Amino acid sequence: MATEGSETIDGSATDVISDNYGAKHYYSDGSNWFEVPLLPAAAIAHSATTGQGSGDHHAQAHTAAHASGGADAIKIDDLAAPDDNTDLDFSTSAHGLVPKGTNAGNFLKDDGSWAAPAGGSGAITREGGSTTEATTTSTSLVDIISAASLSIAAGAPIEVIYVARKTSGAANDANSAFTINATNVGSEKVFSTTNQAEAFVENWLFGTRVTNYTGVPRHIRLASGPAGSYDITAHGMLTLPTVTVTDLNTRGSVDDALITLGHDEYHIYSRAVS
Amino acid sequence: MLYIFAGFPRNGLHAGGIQFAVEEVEQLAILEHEPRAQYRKAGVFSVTEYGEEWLMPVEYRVSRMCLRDGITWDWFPENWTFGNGVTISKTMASPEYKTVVHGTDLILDEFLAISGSARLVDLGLEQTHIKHEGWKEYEARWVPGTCPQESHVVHLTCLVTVHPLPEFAYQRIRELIEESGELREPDSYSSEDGKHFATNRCWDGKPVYTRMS
Repeated sequence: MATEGSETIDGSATDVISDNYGAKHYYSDGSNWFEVPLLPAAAIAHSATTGQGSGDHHAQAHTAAHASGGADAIKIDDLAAPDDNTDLDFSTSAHGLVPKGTNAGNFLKDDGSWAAPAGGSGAITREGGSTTEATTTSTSLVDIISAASLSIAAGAPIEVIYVARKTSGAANDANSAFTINATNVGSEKVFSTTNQAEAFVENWLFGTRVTNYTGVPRHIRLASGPAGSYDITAHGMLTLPTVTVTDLNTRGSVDDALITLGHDEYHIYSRAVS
Repeated sequence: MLYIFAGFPRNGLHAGGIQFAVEEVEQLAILEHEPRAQYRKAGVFSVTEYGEEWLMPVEYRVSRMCLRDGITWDWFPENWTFGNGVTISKTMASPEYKTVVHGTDLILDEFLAISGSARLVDLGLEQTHIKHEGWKEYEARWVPGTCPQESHVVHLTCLVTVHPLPEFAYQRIRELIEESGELREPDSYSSEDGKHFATNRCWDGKPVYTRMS
Protein backbone atom coordinates (compact mmCIF):
# COMPACT_ATOMS: atom_id res chain seq x y z
CA MET A 1 0.00 0.00 0.00
CA ALA A 2 1.33 3.52 -0.81
CA THR A 3 -0.02 6.99 -0.23
CA GLU A 4 -0.62 9.55 -3.04
CA GLY A 5 1.59 12.28 -1.67
CA SER A 6 3.83 12.86 1.27
CA GLU A 7 1.54 11.22 3.79
CA THR A 8 2.86 8.28 5.75
CA ILE A 9 1.24 5.05 6.98
CA ASP A 10 2.20 4.48 10.57
CA GLY A 11 5.29 6.63 9.88
CA SER A 12 6.32 4.78 6.69
CA ALA A 13 5.83 5.66 3.07
CA THR A 14 4.25 2.27 2.40
CA ASP A 15 2.62 -0.65 4.21
CA VAL A 16 2.46 -4.27 3.19
CA ILE A 17 -0.35 -6.82 3.35
CA SER A 18 1.66 -10.01 3.27
CA ASP A 19 -1.11 -12.64 3.44
CA ASN A 20 -3.38 -13.64 0.59
CA TYR A 21 -6.85 -12.25 1.19
CA GLY A 22 -5.42 -10.22 4.07
CA ALA A 23 -7.11 -6.97 5.07
CA LYS A 24 -6.17 -3.98 7.11
CA HIS A 25 -8.15 -1.01 8.35
CA TYR A 26 -6.69 2.53 8.24
CA TYR A 27 -7.82 5.89 9.45
CA SER A 28 -6.51 9.40 8.68
CA ASP A 29 -5.93 12.39 10.98
CA GLY A 30 -5.98 14.67 7.89
CA SER A 31 -2.24 14.54 7.39
CA ASN A 32 -1.17 10.86 7.73
CA TRP A 33 -2.63 7.36 7.83
CA PHE A 34 -2.65 4.99 10.76
CA GLU A 35 -3.47 1.28 10.96
CA VAL A 36 -6.43 0.37 13.14
CA PRO A 37 -5.10 -2.29 15.52
CA LEU A 38 -7.12 -5.51 15.70
CA LEU A 39 -6.96 -6.89 19.26
CA PRO A 40 -6.78 -10.69 19.79
CA ALA A 41 -9.90 -12.38 21.15
CA ALA A 42 -9.95 -12.86 24.92
CA ALA A 43 -9.02 -16.39 26.15
CA ILE A 44 -11.99 -18.67 26.84
CA ALA A 45 -11.76 -21.11 29.73
CA HIS A 46 -11.92 -24.84 28.83
CA SER A 47 -14.93 -25.19 31.10
CA ALA A 48 -16.83 -22.26 29.55
CA THR A 49 -19.79 -23.42 27.50
CA THR A 50 -21.51 -20.12 26.64
CA GLY A 51 -21.65 -19.79 22.90
CA GLN A 52 -19.87 -23.14 22.39
CA GLY A 53 -21.48 -25.74 20.14
CA SER A 54 -21.27 -29.47 20.78
CA GLY A 55 -18.78 -29.82 17.93
CA ASP A 56 -16.58 -26.90 18.94
CA HIS A 57 -12.98 -27.76 19.61
CA HIS A 58 -11.54 -27.59 23.08
CA ALA A 59 -7.83 -27.56 22.60
CA GLN A 60 -6.88 -29.12 25.95
CA ALA A 61 -5.66 -32.67 26.85
CA HIS A 62 -8.23 -34.61 28.87
CA THR A 63 -5.74 -36.87 30.66
CA ALA A 64 -5.39 -34.77 33.78
CA ALA A 65 -9.14 -34.37 34.22
CA HIS A 66 -9.85 -38.11 33.92
CA ALA A 67 -6.86 -39.36 35.90
CA SER A 68 -7.08 -40.27 39.57
CA GLY A 69 -7.72 -37.07 41.57
CA GLY A 70 -8.75 -35.14 38.43
CA ALA A 71 -11.93 -33.07 38.12
CA ASP A 72 -13.62 -35.76 36.02
CA ALA A 73 -11.86 -38.95 37.19
CA ILE A 74 -13.05 -42.20 35.58
CA LYS A 75 -13.20 -45.28 37.85
CA ILE A 76 -11.57 -48.35 36.30
CA ASP A 77 -14.58 -50.55 37.12
CA ASP A 78 -16.86 -48.16 35.21
CA LEU A 79 -15.02 -48.66 31.92
CA ALA A 80 -16.61 -50.86 29.30
CA ALA A 81 -15.72 -54.59 29.17
CA PRO A 82 -12.70 -55.28 26.97
CA ASP A 83 -12.62 -57.46 23.86
CA ASP A 84 -11.68 -61.14 24.28
CA ASN A 85 -8.08 -60.75 23.24
CA THR A 86 -4.62 -60.51 24.75
CA ASP A 87 -3.85 -56.94 23.61
CA LEU A 88 -3.09 -55.51 27.04
CA ASP A 89 -2.07 -58.66 28.93
CA PHE A 90 0.98 -58.29 31.12
CA SER A 91 4.26 -59.83 30.10
CA THR A 92 7.76 -60.16 31.46
CA SER A 93 8.55 -56.76 29.94
CA ALA A 94 5.44 -54.73 30.81
CA HIS A 95 2.61 -54.71 33.30
CA GLY A 96 -0.94 -55.09 32.07
CA LEU A 97 -4.14 -57.10 32.36
CA VAL A 98 -4.35 -60.60 33.80
CA PRO A 99 -4.67 -63.23 31.05
CA LYS A 100 -7.97 -65.08 30.66
CA GLY A 101 -8.29 -67.93 33.21
CA THR A 102 -8.34 -71.66 32.43
CA ASN A 103 -10.94 -72.70 35.03
CA ALA A 104 -8.76 -75.68 35.92
CA GLY A 105 -7.52 -74.61 39.33
CA ASN A 106 -4.21 -73.41 37.94
CA PHE A 107 -2.02 -70.62 39.22
CA LEU A 108 -0.72 -67.64 37.28
CA LYS A 109 3.01 -67.70 36.64
CA ASP A 110 5.09 -64.55 36.33
CA ASP A 111 5.56 -65.11 32.60
CA GLY A 112 1.82 -64.73 32.07
CA SER A 113 0.99 -68.42 31.63
CA TRP A 114 -1.27 -70.57 33.81
CA ALA A 115 0.14 -73.75 35.34
CA ALA A 116 -0.54 -76.39 37.95
CA PRO A 117 0.83 -75.51 41.39
CA ALA A 118 4.54 -76.22 41.41
CA GLY A 119 5.37 -77.36 44.87
CA GLY A 120 5.51 -75.83 48.29
CA SER A 121 1.80 -76.37 48.72
CA GLY A 122 2.06 -78.92 51.49
CA ALA A 123 0.47 -82.32 51.81
CA ILE A 124 -3.17 -81.43 51.24
CA THR A 125 -4.80 -81.39 47.82
CA ARG A 126 -8.24 -79.83 47.47
CA GLU A 127 -10.64 -79.68 44.56
CA GLY A 128 -8.88 -78.41 41.48
CA GLY A 129 -5.46 -79.16 42.95
CA SER A 130 -2.72 -81.26 41.51
CA THR A 131 -2.71 -84.96 42.37
CA THR A 132 -0.86 -88.07 41.31
CA GLU A 133 -0.80 -91.84 41.72
CA ALA A 134 0.35 -93.52 44.94
CA THR A 135 3.53 -95.55 44.47
CA THR A 136 6.00 -97.63 46.44
CA THR A 137 9.27 -99.50 46.19
CA SER A 138 8.74 -101.19 49.54
CA THR A 139 9.63 -104.89 49.70
CA SER A 140 7.33 -105.38 52.72
CA LEU A 141 3.64 -104.57 52.76
CA VAL A 142 2.85 -100.87 52.98
CA ASP A 143 -0.31 -98.76 53.05
CA ILE A 144 -0.64 -97.17 49.59
CA ILE A 145 -4.10 -95.57 49.26
CA SER A 146 -6.32 -95.01 52.25
CA ALA A 147 -9.98 -94.04 52.24
CA ALA A 148 -10.57 -92.55 55.67
CA SER A 149 -13.54 -90.85 57.33
CA LEU A 150 -15.95 -93.57 56.14
CA SER A 151 -18.99 -94.82 57.97
CA ILE A 152 -20.29 -97.98 56.33
CA ALA A 153 -22.63 -100.10 58.41
CA ALA A 154 -21.69 -103.76 58.94
CA GLY A 155 -24.79 -104.81 57.04
CA ALA A 156 -23.89 -102.99 53.83
CA PRO A 157 -22.06 -104.85 51.04
CA ILE A 158 -18.96 -103.03 49.77
CA GLU A 159 -17.37 -103.01 46.34
CA VAL A 160 -13.90 -101.59 45.73
CA ILE A 161 -12.27 -100.88 42.37
CA TYR A 162 -8.80 -99.50 41.69
CA VAL A 163 -6.04 -99.81 39.13
CA ALA A 164 -2.56 -101.13 39.80
CA ARG A 165 0.63 -101.13 37.79
CA LYS A 166 4.23 -102.19 38.10
CA THR A 167 7.17 -100.75 36.22
CA SER A 168 9.95 -102.66 34.59
CA GLY A 169 13.23 -102.93 36.48
CA ALA A 170 13.59 -106.56 37.47
CA ALA A 171 12.20 -109.96 36.52
CA ASN A 172 9.98 -110.15 39.54
CA ASP A 173 6.42 -109.72 40.79
CA ALA A 174 4.50 -107.40 43.11
CA ASN A 175 1.87 -108.11 45.75
CA SER A 176 -1.56 -106.71 46.36
CA ALA A 177 -3.36 -106.62 49.69
CA PHE A 178 -6.29 -104.88 51.30
CA THR A 179 -7.39 -103.91 54.77
CA ILE A 180 -10.79 -103.22 56.32
CA ASN A 181 -10.24 -101.08 59.38
CA ALA A 182 -7.15 -102.86 60.77
CA THR A 183 -7.95 -106.30 59.36
CA ASN A 184 -5.81 -107.57 56.49
CA VAL A 185 -8.14 -109.41 54.13
CA GLY A 186 -5.60 -111.00 51.84
CA SER A 187 -2.32 -110.68 49.99
CA GLU A 188 -1.40 -112.24 46.69
CA LYS A 189 0.91 -112.03 43.70
CA VAL A 190 -0.80 -110.03 41.01
CA PHE A 191 1.64 -109.58 38.12
CA SER A 192 3.87 -111.78 36.04
CA THR A 193 7.58 -112.15 36.82
CA THR A 194 8.56 -110.81 33.42
CA ASN A 195 10.69 -107.67 33.48
CA GLN A 196 8.13 -105.41 31.87
CA ALA A 197 5.54 -102.76 32.71
CA GLU A 198 2.10 -104.24 33.48
CA ALA A 199 -1.24 -102.86 34.64
CA PHE A 200 -4.34 -104.37 36.20
CA VAL A 201 -7.80 -103.52 37.41
CA GLU A 202 -8.43 -104.80 40.92
CA ASN A 203 -11.92 -105.41 42.22
CA TRP A 204 -12.83 -106.47 45.77
CA LEU A 205 -16.30 -107.42 46.89
CA PHE A 206 -17.31 -107.78 50.53
CA GLY A 207 -20.69 -109.11 51.54
CA THR A 208 -22.69 -108.26 54.62
CA ARG A 209 -20.49 -108.69 57.70
CA VAL A 210 -22.57 -110.00 60.55
CA THR A 211 -21.89 -112.58 63.24
CA ASN A 212 -21.05 -116.02 61.79
CA TYR A 213 -21.06 -114.56 58.23
CA THR A 214 -17.82 -112.61 58.18
CA GLY A 215 -15.52 -114.31 55.69
CA VAL A 216 -14.60 -114.82 52.07
CA PRO A 217 -14.19 -111.55 50.22
CA ARG A 218 -13.95 -111.97 46.48
CA HIS A 219 -10.97 -110.53 44.65
CA ILE A 220 -11.04 -110.22 40.87
CA ARG A 221 -7.93 -109.17 38.97
CA LEU A 222 -8.24 -108.13 35.34
CA ALA A 223 -5.23 -107.53 33.16
CA SER A 224 -5.19 -104.40 31.06
CA GLY A 225 -1.58 -104.70 29.97
CA PRO A 226 0.65 -107.12 28.07
CA ALA A 227 0.21 -109.81 30.74
CA GLY A 228 -3.34 -110.31 29.48
CA SER A 229 -4.84 -112.47 32.19
CA TYR A 230 -7.40 -112.55 34.96
CA ASP A 231 -8.16 -114.51 38.07
CA ILE A 232 -10.79 -114.66 40.75
CA THR A 233 -9.74 -115.42 44.29
CA ALA A 234 -11.88 -116.13 47.32
CA HIS A 235 -9.96 -115.31 50.49
CA GLY A 236 -11.19 -117.78 53.07
CA MET A 237 -10.36 -118.29 56.73
CA LEU A 238 -10.97 -114.65 57.52
CA THR A 239 -12.88 -112.92 60.23
CA LEU A 240 -13.95 -109.58 58.91
CA PRO A 241 -14.96 -106.89 61.40
CA THR A 242 -18.66 -106.74 62.23
CA VAL A 243 -18.44 -103.10 63.27
CA THR A 244 -18.85 -99.95 61.19
CA VAL A 245 -16.16 -99.69 58.53
CA THR A 246 -14.19 -96.44 58.83
CA ASP A 247 -11.04 -97.18 56.82
CA LEU A 248 -10.43 -99.11 53.61
CA ASN A 249 -6.80 -99.26 52.54
CA THR A 250 -5.00 -100.68 49.56
CA ARG A 251 -1.67 -102.21 50.43
CA GLY A 252 1.13 -103.67 48.39
CA SER A 253 4.79 -104.49 48.07
CA VAL A 254 7.28 -105.39 45.38
CA ASP A 255 9.48 -108.48 45.24
CA ASP A 256 12.42 -106.40 44.06
CA ALA A 257 13.10 -102.79 45.01
CA LEU A 258 13.98 -102.00 41.40
CA ILE A 259 10.28 -102.32 40.58
CA THR A 260 7.78 -99.59 41.41
CA LEU A 261 4.20 -100.52 42.30
CA GLY A 262 1.48 -97.92 41.69
CA HIS A 263 -2.19 -97.69 42.71
CA ASP A 264 -4.70 -95.10 41.55
CA GLU A 265 -8.33 -94.38 40.58
CA TYR A 266 -9.64 -95.74 43.86
CA HIS A 267 -13.44 -96.04 44.09
CA ILE A 268 -15.58 -97.47 46.87
CA TYR A 269 -19.31 -98.22 46.69
CA SER A 270 -21.53 -99.43 49.48
CA ARG A 271 -24.90 -100.93 48.62
CA ALA A 272 -28.11 -100.07 50.38
CA VAL A 273 -29.71 -102.97 52.25
CA SER A 274 -33.17 -101.56 52.66
CA MET B 1 15.16 -94.27 60.08
CA LEU B 2 11.81 -93.08 58.75
CA TYR B 3 11.46 -89.69 57.07
CA ILE B 4 8.05 -88.23 56.27
CA PHE B 5 7.62 -85.36 53.82
CA ALA B 6 4.56 -83.40 52.77
CA GLY B 7 3.03 -83.99 49.37
CA PHE B 8 4.50 -85.76 46.37
CA PRO B 9 7.46 -84.62 44.28
CA ARG B 10 6.16 -81.86 42.00
CA ASN B 11 9.03 -82.52 39.60
CA GLY B 12 7.05 -85.61 38.58
CA LEU B 13 9.17 -88.33 40.17
CA HIS B 14 7.25 -91.24 41.68
CA ALA B 15 8.55 -93.51 44.46
CA GLY B 16 10.86 -95.37 42.08
CA GLY B 17 12.09 -92.08 40.66
CA ILE B 18 12.87 -90.65 44.10
CA GLN B 19 14.66 -93.86 45.00
CA PHE B 20 16.73 -93.60 41.80
CA ALA B 21 17.56 -89.95 42.55
CA VAL B 22 18.53 -90.63 46.15
CA GLU B 23 20.50 -93.85 45.65
CA GLU B 24 21.87 -93.67 42.13
CA VAL B 25 22.01 -90.14 40.74
CA GLU B 26 22.79 -88.05 43.81
CA GLN B 27 23.86 -90.83 46.19
CA LEU B 28 22.34 -89.13 49.21
CA ALA B 29 21.28 -92.16 51.24
CA ILE B 30 21.10 -95.91 51.45
CA LEU B 31 17.46 -96.94 51.61
CA GLU B 32 16.20 -99.95 53.54
CA HIS B 33 15.19 -102.74 51.12
CA GLU B 34 15.35 -105.79 53.38
CA PRO B 35 12.05 -107.63 52.70
CA ARG B 36 11.78 -108.67 56.35
CA ALA B 37 12.06 -105.07 57.59
CA GLN B 38 8.66 -103.51 57.99
CA TYR B 39 8.27 -100.07 59.58
CA ARG B 40 4.90 -99.59 61.26
CA LYS B 41 3.41 -96.98 63.53
CA ALA B 42 3.83 -99.50 66.34
CA GLY B 43 7.53 -100.08 65.71
CA VAL B 44 10.02 -101.78 63.43
CA PHE B 45 9.08 -105.40 62.82
CA SER B 46 10.82 -108.38 61.32
CA VAL B 47 8.23 -110.17 59.20
CA THR B 48 8.80 -113.68 57.87
CA GLU B 49 6.62 -116.52 56.68
CA TYR B 50 6.85 -117.95 60.19
CA GLY B 51 5.54 -114.87 61.93
CA GLU B 52 6.61 -111.42 62.96
CA GLU B 53 8.73 -109.95 65.72
CA TRP B 54 8.86 -106.44 67.16
CA LEU B 55 12.43 -105.19 66.96
CA MET B 56 12.52 -101.60 68.16
CA PRO B 57 10.55 -98.38 68.27
CA VAL B 58 10.51 -96.28 65.10
CA GLU B 59 12.96 -93.41 64.80
CA TYR B 60 11.24 -90.85 62.63
CA ARG B 61 11.41 -87.25 61.46
CA VAL B 62 8.31 -85.43 60.23
CA SER B 63 9.01 -82.42 58.00
CA ARG B 64 8.12 -78.88 59.03
CA MET B 65 5.67 -78.62 56.15
CA CYS B 66 3.75 -81.63 57.49
CA LEU B 67 3.63 -80.01 60.91
CA ARG B 68 2.43 -76.77 59.34
CA ASP B 69 -0.43 -78.68 57.72
CA GLY B 70 -1.40 -80.28 61.04
CA ILE B 71 0.13 -83.70 60.35
CA THR B 72 2.17 -85.05 63.26
CA TRP B 73 3.15 -88.60 64.24
CA ASP B 74 -0.29 -88.91 65.86
CA TRP B 75 -1.91 -88.42 62.45
CA PHE B 76 -1.10 -92.02 61.53
CA PRO B 77 -3.50 -94.72 62.80
CA GLU B 78 -2.09 -97.42 65.07
CA ASN B 79 -2.15 -100.03 62.30
CA TRP B 80 -0.45 -97.81 59.69
CA THR B 81 2.38 -99.48 57.78
CA PHE B 82 5.28 -97.57 56.23
CA GLY B 83 7.03 -100.67 54.85
CA ASN B 84 10.52 -99.78 53.66
CA GLY B 85 12.13 -98.09 50.65
CA VAL B 86 10.13 -95.16 49.31
CA THR B 87 6.34 -94.82 49.41
CA ILE B 88 4.13 -92.01 48.19
CA SER B 89 0.79 -92.63 49.88
CA LYS B 90 -2.60 -91.05 49.34
CA THR B 91 -5.24 -90.65 52.01
CA MET B 92 -8.65 -89.53 50.77
CA ALA B 93 -11.40 -88.13 52.97
CA SER B 94 -14.76 -86.50 52.32
CA PRO B 95 -17.36 -85.10 54.68
CA GLU B 96 -20.88 -86.43 54.16
CA TYR B 97 -23.87 -84.14 54.28
CA LYS B 98 -27.60 -84.54 54.78
CA THR B 99 -30.46 -82.15 54.12
CA VAL B 100 -32.35 -81.33 57.33
CA VAL B 101 -35.25 -79.10 58.28
CA HIS B 102 -33.85 -75.77 59.43
CA GLY B 103 -33.50 -75.59 63.19
CA THR B 104 -33.69 -79.36 63.64
CA ASP B 105 -31.48 -82.38 63.03
CA LEU B 106 -34.29 -84.16 61.17
CA ILE B 107 -34.50 -84.97 57.50
CA LEU B 108 -37.82 -84.03 55.91
CA ASP B 109 -39.36 -87.51 56.25
CA GLU B 110 -38.46 -87.70 59.94
CA PHE B 111 -39.81 -84.20 60.52
CA LEU B 112 -43.13 -85.08 58.83
CA ALA B 113 -43.37 -88.30 60.82
CA ILE B 114 -43.18 -86.26 64.02
CA SER B 115 -45.13 -83.16 63.05
CA GLY B 116 -47.85 -84.96 61.10
CA SER B 117 -48.19 -82.41 58.36
CA ALA B 118 -46.51 -79.16 57.49
CA ARG B 119 -46.82 -76.55 54.78
CA LEU B 120 -43.64 -76.79 52.70
CA VAL B 121 -43.68 -73.03 52.21
CA ASP B 122 -43.16 -72.65 55.96
CA LEU B 123 -40.15 -74.97 56.08
CA GLY B 124 -36.53 -74.17 55.41
CA LEU B 125 -34.06 -76.86 54.43
CA GLU B 126 -30.32 -76.77 54.95
CA GLN B 127 -27.35 -79.05 54.48
CA THR B 128 -25.53 -80.21 57.57
CA HIS B 129 -22.26 -82.09 57.91
CA ILE B 130 -22.83 -85.56 59.37
CA LYS B 131 -20.12 -85.96 61.98
CA HIS B 132 -20.38 -89.72 62.04
CA GLU B 133 -17.99 -92.18 63.69
CA GLY B 134 -15.63 -92.37 60.72
CA TRP B 135 -15.32 -88.61 60.37
CA LYS B 136 -14.75 -88.10 64.09
CA GLU B 137 -12.01 -90.73 64.07
CA TYR B 138 -10.37 -89.11 61.09
CA GLU B 139 -10.64 -85.55 62.37
CA ALA B 140 -9.08 -86.60 65.68
CA ARG B 141 -5.90 -87.58 63.84
CA TRP B 142 -5.17 -83.95 62.98
CA VAL B 143 -3.81 -81.18 65.15
CA PRO B 144 -7.04 -79.58 66.47
CA GLY B 145 -8.51 -77.11 64.01
CA THR B 146 -6.41 -78.17 61.02
CA CYS B 147 -8.52 -80.96 59.45
CA PRO B 148 -9.93 -79.68 56.13
CA GLN B 149 -13.74 -79.70 56.26
CA GLU B 150 -14.11 -80.58 52.58
CA SER B 151 -13.17 -83.34 50.16
CA HIS B 152 -9.41 -83.59 50.10
CA VAL B 153 -6.43 -85.84 49.48
CA VAL B 154 -3.35 -86.03 51.69
CA HIS B 155 -0.19 -87.03 49.89
CA LEU B 156 2.80 -88.04 51.98
CA THR B 157 6.21 -89.23 50.80
CA CYS B 158 7.98 -91.59 53.21
CA LEU B 159 11.55 -92.84 53.01
CA VAL B 160 13.06 -95.54 55.18
CA THR B 161 16.85 -95.32 55.33
CA VAL B 162 19.39 -97.69 56.82
CA HIS B 163 21.14 -94.87 58.69
CA PRO B 164 20.06 -91.41 59.83
CA LEU B 165 20.67 -88.80 57.15
CA PRO B 166 23.21 -85.98 57.49
CA GLU B 167 21.48 -82.61 57.40
CA PHE B 168 22.65 -81.69 53.88
CA ALA B 169 21.23 -84.93 52.49
CA TYR B 170 17.96 -84.44 54.37
CA GLN B 171 17.60 -80.90 53.05
CA ARG B 172 18.35 -81.97 49.48
CA ILE B 173 15.76 -84.77 49.64
CA ARG B 174 13.25 -82.36 51.20
CA GLU B 175 13.96 -79.93 48.38
CA LEU B 176 13.40 -82.67 45.78
CA ILE B 177 10.03 -83.60 47.29
CA GLU B 178 8.55 -80.49 48.88
CA GLU B 179 10.02 -77.73 46.75
CA SER B 180 10.03 -79.41 43.31
CA GLY B 181 13.82 -79.15 43.29
CA GLU B 182 15.43 -79.33 39.91
CA LEU B 183 16.85 -82.71 39.03
CA ARG B 184 20.56 -83.08 38.68
CA GLU B 185 21.68 -85.04 35.64
CA PRO B 186 18.16 -85.22 34.21
CA ASP B 187 19.40 -87.36 31.32
CA SER B 188 20.12 -90.15 33.80
CA TYR B 189 16.41 -90.82 34.27
CA SER B 190 14.70 -93.38 32.08
CA SER B 191 12.73 -92.19 29.10
CA GLU B 192 10.51 -95.29 29.41
CA ASP B 193 6.97 -94.11 30.08
CA GLY B 194 6.15 -94.29 33.80
CA LYS B 195 9.51 -95.78 34.82
CA HIS B 196 10.68 -92.88 36.98
CA PHE B 197 7.96 -90.28 36.54
CA ALA B 198 4.25 -90.20 37.30
CA THR B 199 1.66 -88.06 35.57
CA ASN B 200 0.32 -85.19 37.64
CA ARG B 201 -3.24 -84.13 36.96
CA CYS B 202 -5.99 -81.93 38.27
CA TRP B 203 -8.40 -83.48 40.81
CA ASP B 204 -12.09 -82.70 40.33
CA GLY B 205 -12.80 -83.03 44.05
CA LYS B 206 -15.19 -85.96 43.71
CA PRO B 207 -15.17 -88.17 46.81
CA VAL B 208 -13.68 -91.65 46.51
CA TYR B 209 -16.67 -93.13 48.36
CA THR B 210 -20.22 -93.41 46.99
CA ARG B 211 -23.15 -94.51 49.15
CA MET B 212 -25.49 -96.21 46.65
CA SER B 213 -29.22 -96.25 47.24
